[in-house]
Amino acid sequence: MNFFFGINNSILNSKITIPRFQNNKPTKKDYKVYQLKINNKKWEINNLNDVVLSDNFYQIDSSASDNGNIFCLATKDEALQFKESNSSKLINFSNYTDTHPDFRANLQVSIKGGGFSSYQSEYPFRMVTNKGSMLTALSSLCNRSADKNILFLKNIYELPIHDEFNVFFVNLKTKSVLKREVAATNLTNEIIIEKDFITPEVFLFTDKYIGVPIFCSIKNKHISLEHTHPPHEYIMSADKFKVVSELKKEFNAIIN
Amino acid sequence: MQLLIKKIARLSSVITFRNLISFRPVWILKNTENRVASVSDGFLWRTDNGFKTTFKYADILGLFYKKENSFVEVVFYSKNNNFIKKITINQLDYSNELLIDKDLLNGIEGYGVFYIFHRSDSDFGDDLIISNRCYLGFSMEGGLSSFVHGNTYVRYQRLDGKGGGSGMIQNTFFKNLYRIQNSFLGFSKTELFFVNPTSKKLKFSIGLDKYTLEEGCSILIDVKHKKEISILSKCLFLRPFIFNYKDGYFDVYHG
Repeated sequence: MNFFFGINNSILNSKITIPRFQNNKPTKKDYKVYQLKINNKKWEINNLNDVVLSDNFYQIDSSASDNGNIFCLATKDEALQFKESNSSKLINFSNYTDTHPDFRANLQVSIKGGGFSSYQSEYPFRMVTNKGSMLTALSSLCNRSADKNILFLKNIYELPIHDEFNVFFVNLKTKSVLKREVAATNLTNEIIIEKDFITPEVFLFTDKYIGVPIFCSIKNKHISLEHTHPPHEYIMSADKFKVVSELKKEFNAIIN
Repeated sequence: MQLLIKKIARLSSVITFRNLISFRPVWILKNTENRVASVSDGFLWRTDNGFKTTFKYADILGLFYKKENSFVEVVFYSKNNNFIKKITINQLDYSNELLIDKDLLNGIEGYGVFYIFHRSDSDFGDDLIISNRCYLGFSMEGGLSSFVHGNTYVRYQRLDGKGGGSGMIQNTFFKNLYRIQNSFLGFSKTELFFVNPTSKKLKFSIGLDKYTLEEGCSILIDVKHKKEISILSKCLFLRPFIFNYKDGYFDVYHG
């Protein structure tokens, strides 16, 4: 199961275009868009019925995204089943978006009177049940020549809580913490990246929760939006998780 | 018993048969003869129409394996798979950047594919396969680069440079449909970039338009005024880079 999310920001508009079809199959109209949000320490699920773009797509704009709510595709029965399950935890209640290649929605940001940028996004359920640390190089997608670089750090966690965790900017060469920010679970966290941090040796590292790091650069109404890969994607041999774990231990030693 | 069935299912002859009949196909065949290797995507470079390409890549061996003397080779080909040049980069930071413009590519204004291979003489035992997924930024007429990450595995080479191969993405006997999961409504122009990720001649179609790509070849297709795009081919993983244009701005992402 995949979840989808938007970005709500003071200068950017966002829209999520969710296909009503799997990437090798005909359109299935009995799958609707549902919104999930935290209410009274429970996950509340509601059908969004005014988001049909065409026969083959749903579209959700900024006005329906508040950085805390998330979206998914499900049938009426699947949504009802989740609702009746007490909703104290996110569960994998629909397998429609479990496809190979991965089922994706398009997350686009734009500036009024300016440019636009997007990527094919999803938040897979397997990440929802995991805690851990996230590591990514800052200069992979940040741009020193941009007017502004923003990190949108999306976390979705199974429990309906906004638990705080730390986001560190770490210089691996000097083994020092340059800055610490605080993010929270079940939010699209927004963090402005300082230009001085955009160097090859600076990494972003979280201490308690994982997430999807999405980098946005803005210059003269041009925008770039893309996410970085998790480190284990760089290694295809059997030792990949061990090697990444060793590297994360190095970062843990620096932040502690 | 289950273990035995799994072992049989993973035999290369069985995988070939599974792919042929599209039964639980394996799209990516990982190389088995070169177990200390660097795998590369087929990365798009473009210097046509005022485009410049920025390539961002990591020093994987330095960052993950603490090897200080590794280097990378970046090999450029034209859209027809003609070799253009090879660049060796010895001094690596954890993150690195290469600007690809017509000056770098012998004055060529066009597009094609390049590959990045890591090189090292260090001993890594007998099982180390790395893949630099990398990020590509495209800028037009000096504007801000729009970034997209790597798209699909295409070639591999041993870390010592003494062998390699291609054709990691597999084919099937039956035609395979891939519907791009985005709407193309409202854009003034859309371009799709494909590289043949297989080791065989690749035939594919978009609507009524048919295309053929020899091994290593690439194509940029203008698909103006389509609301939706579906690709039909025998390739198990044929996913293009997409350029959408509107009101003097453009966006790039993988399909």
